[in-house]
This record gives sequence, C-alpha cells and structure tokens, in this order.
Amino acid sequence: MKTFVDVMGKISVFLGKACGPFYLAAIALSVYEVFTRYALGAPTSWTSETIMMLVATAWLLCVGAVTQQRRHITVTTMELLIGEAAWNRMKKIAIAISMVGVAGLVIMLWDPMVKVLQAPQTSGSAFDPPSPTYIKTMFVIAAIIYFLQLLANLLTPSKELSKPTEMGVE
Amino acid sequence: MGIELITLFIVLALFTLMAIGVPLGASTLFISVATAYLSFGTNGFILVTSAVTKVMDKQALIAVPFFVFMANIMERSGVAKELFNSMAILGGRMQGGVAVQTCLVAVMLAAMSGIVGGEIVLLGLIALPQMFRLGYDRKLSIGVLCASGSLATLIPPSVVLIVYGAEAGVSVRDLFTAGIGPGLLLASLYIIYVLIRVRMNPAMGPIYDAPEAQLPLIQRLSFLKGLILPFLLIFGVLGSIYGGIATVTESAAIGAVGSLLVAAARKELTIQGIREALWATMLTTGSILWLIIGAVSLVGIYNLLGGTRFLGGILTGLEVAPIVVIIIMMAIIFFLGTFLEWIAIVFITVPIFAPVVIQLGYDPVWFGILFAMNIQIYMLSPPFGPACFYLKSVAPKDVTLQEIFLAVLPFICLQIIGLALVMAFPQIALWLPGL
Repeated sequence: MKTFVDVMGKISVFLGKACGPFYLAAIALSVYEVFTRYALGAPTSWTSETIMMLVATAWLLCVGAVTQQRRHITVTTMELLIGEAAWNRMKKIAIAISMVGVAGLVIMLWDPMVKVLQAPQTSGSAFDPPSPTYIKTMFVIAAIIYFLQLLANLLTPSKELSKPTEMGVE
Repeated sequence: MGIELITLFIVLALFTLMAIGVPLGASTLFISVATAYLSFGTNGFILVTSAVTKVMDKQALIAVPFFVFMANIMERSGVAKELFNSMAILGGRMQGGVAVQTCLVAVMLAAMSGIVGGEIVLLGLIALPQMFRLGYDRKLSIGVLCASGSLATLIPPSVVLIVYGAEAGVSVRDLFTAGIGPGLLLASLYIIYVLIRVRMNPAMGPIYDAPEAQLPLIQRLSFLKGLILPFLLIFGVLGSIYGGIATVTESAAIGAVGSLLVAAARKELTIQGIREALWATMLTTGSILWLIIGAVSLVGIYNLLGGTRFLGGILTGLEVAPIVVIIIMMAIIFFLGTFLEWIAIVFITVPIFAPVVIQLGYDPVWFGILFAMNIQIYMLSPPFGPACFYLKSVAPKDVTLQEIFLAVLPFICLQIIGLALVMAFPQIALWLPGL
C-alpha cells in the first residue's frame, strides 16, 4: 500500500514537472506564429492547433501533481468548527466522493474515446491533425491519473497529507 | 421530478459536499454525474461528455497559463521592486504619497500580467513594509494595498475578462478596452479616498523619507528609468493586441517571452527560476482546469434538464425594470462569491445570464465589466476574500485576518460606488470600445 502511494506520488510529480516545457514550447510557437505572419507575411497552418494540443496535454496531465499537492480549491472552514480529528475523518469521505465523481467522468469519457480510436477523427482544418482523437484520449488518461492519485491520497494517513489550498488562496 | 426540485437538490448537494471538504471541481463533477445518471441513465453520460471535451475548444483560455507563467516570472524578478521605488521617489514629498504610488504601481502591475494573487503578494512584500516603517495608518495601508491589487480583475489583460469572454462568446479585445475606464475610475476613487483621509489627519500618511525623494523634481526625473522595462512589457502585451498584430493568446505569449527578457536584462533569469515558475504555473492552471471541467459538466446536464431556460425565464419574467434584473444578477453573483471560486461562478452563471442580458437589450460587454467589478468586490469580501488571504500570506505576523477584513471595508464601499456608477452610466465602460 505504501509502495503504491509512493510510486503514484512520484509519477504524478514527474508528469507535472515534465509537462512544464510544453507551456514553454506553446509560448515559443505563439510568438513564432506572430513573427511569420507579420514579419515574413507567411502565416502557418499548423501552429494554432499544435499550441492547443501542447497546452491541453500539460493542462490535463498535471492533474496528478495538483491532486498529490492538494492544490484543488477546497473550502476548509468546517475544520474550525468540528476540530481536527473529525475533519481528518471527513477528509477521507471527501476523497471517496471525489473518486466517485472522477470514476463517473472516466465512464462518461470511455466510449467516446474507444469510438475515436476505432475510427480516428481529425479537426477538418487545413492542417487537419487528429486533435479530437488526441484530446478525447488524453482526457481519459488524465481522469485515470486523477482517480489513481485520489486513491493514493485516500491510502495516505490523514496527518501525512499536505494541507489543502483553501478557497481563494490559489 | 420538476426542475424546481432538481435546482434545489443541486444547490443543497453543492453546499453539503463543499462543507465536508470535497474540492469544488470534484463537487460539481460528482453532482453532474449523479444528476445525469438519475435523469437519463447511462445515456446522460454521453450528453455531458460533449460539453466537457469542448472545454479545450475555447481558444482564449490558452492565454491563461501564459499569463500565469508571466506573473510567476515577474514575481521572481526585482522589476516590481524597482518600479515601486522609482514611483515613490518620483512622488517626492507628498503627504500619503507612498499609498498613492502603491495604487499607481498596482495599475501598472495589473497592465503587465492580469493576475491578482501575484500582484498582491508583490505589493505586500514591497509596499506594506515601507508604509508600516513610515508610520502609515495600518488599516489605510492594508486596505489600499488589497483594493488596488485587485484592480487586475478589470485592467487589461485581465484573466477574469478572458474567461468571461470565452464563456459568453464576447470579444476579449472589446472587454479589455471596456475595462480601462472603470479600472481607472476605481483607482482614482482609491487615490481620492487616501488623499482625503491624509488631508484630514496627516499622521495617517507621513511623507516618504528617502533622501532621493527630497531632490528637486528635475533630478528626480532620472528615476524614470525604473519605469522603462515595465512600460516596454505593457506595450508588448497591450500594444500587440490593440495594434491588431496578435490575438489575446499570442499577446500573452509575447508577454511571457517579454517577462523572460526583462528578467534576463536584469541578470535575474536562471534555469532554476524558470523551473520554479513552470511548476507554480502547472499547479495553478491545473486546479483551474478541473474547476472548469466540473462547472461545465454541471451546467451541461442542468441545461439539458431545462434549468438554464427555467432560471432565465424567472429573470425575464420578473415584472420589474430591466436594470433591476441586472441588479438581481449582480446580487446573485455576489452571493455565490461568498462560497464559490470566481471561475466556477463564471461557468455556472454566464450561460444563464448572458442570453437574458441580450434579451433585455443590454450590451454583453458592459455586463462583462459589471461582472468583473463584482468579482473585484468578491476578492475583498469576507469570509473568503482571496485578496485578503494573499496579503495575509506575506504580511508581518502581527497583521491578523480580522484586521485585513476590517481594513478593506471602506474600499468595498468605494467598489460598490464604482459599480453603481458604471451601472448608471454604461458609457464609462463603453465609450472606449465605441471609438
């Protein structure tokens, strides 16, 4: 159990850090597009959708890191009213409910993903990348990572969980 | 089950889940999954899926991580500190001058990145210790800092306006232009308030004591050089949008590259700094995305059940003047702000309110500005006022949250006055986009 918690935490943090350069690449491509359009008079047909896929990848795959670091925005006012011991028990219930919600999302997204993998969809633009297929698949992968990291958080003793980000502190 | 009961159940479930500590994104996701299953069986899932996957089609949202990254780089560079010092010296021996300069620096920082959190943290680290050291009234110092730091919700390139524009289908460029007038109006109200208070009681805002501030104006002008890099950055971001050179997303990328260049020019750019900024950006934007997914999925299923039509019908069916309907909407947004994060408020309320606003004959750009002004009030309001929490995280230990909430009360009144003025005189917001 502890091995799973440790390994999942490492995978989540690794993915979160590894996806950072995707933002840098997307920023560089955006500036490149402005340059080619206005300085060279030759707009590209591929940057816009590539940027979207880069940002979507980073945005989706960092969910494990966000969950491991407990950065999802949460209202923690109740802790002041009910005390730490009761709040620690409620944390577990909150994680279990989150898991049900995320499991529902995986189920919701599964069939559309299977369909696009069987018959890949493209965007229909001039560049025509398989972005619908890619995004739907990435959504499922992200939701599974989210679920597994929530499970790791559930198995982590309450006292060892990092303090969640309170509402508005984000 | 009627839509009235479903609405009630959704609200109660949302309250309950949030109260027991379920993250906001997961709460909305859970309720949408449950509502879809109970209403349509497994077929309901397919209906929600399309709403969720379309989140990535909102091109303007791509600007958000770019601006967050830019703010994170700026936070790690000393450009804000130099800007504040230069402005304070340029202000000279003015009574309450440091508080006034804090307001002006906040406007410039807002025009650089559009992120409230980063701005208040920076001002809290730079301006607050200065004002405390000089013996400024504590409440005045704290209040002006939180209020002016929140101007980033309104002054372009505001992230709030980007998210609103993406959801309401309104031109972000028009929203940016419309935000300038009300943003400057609020900044002016804050400055006038500070000047009146220090005029009545000079001890509240002592004169800046740095030797450079005592120099004649001509010599003080040499400190304008501290404003060059910030102005270049603002020009890069806003100039590229208004010059028609770049889209909002591209201008955000230009700003991000600009912030890296500014940090490099100041010899403050390190690989470690970039890594830290990227990590902070990933964590912030990651939590934002799942808030959006949860809200979009809940609104998607609620819409299918006829909820949007139901609430829209209630609003348009009210036998009151159209402006009263707008006031009611503002009150609802304000109420939601006491327990929801602003991004969730945008994605939950805008699909319902935007069609009603158009049906009543109002400009959705004007409504977007009212929306952002309301979000600004939410930034300061207890119990969750994020701006107050941002400041608390960097303020000296003896500054309590209660003191911060008390200090911002006069500024909340000024924000309400500003909101009322823009509501009564829409041209404050609309004259610039109309040019």
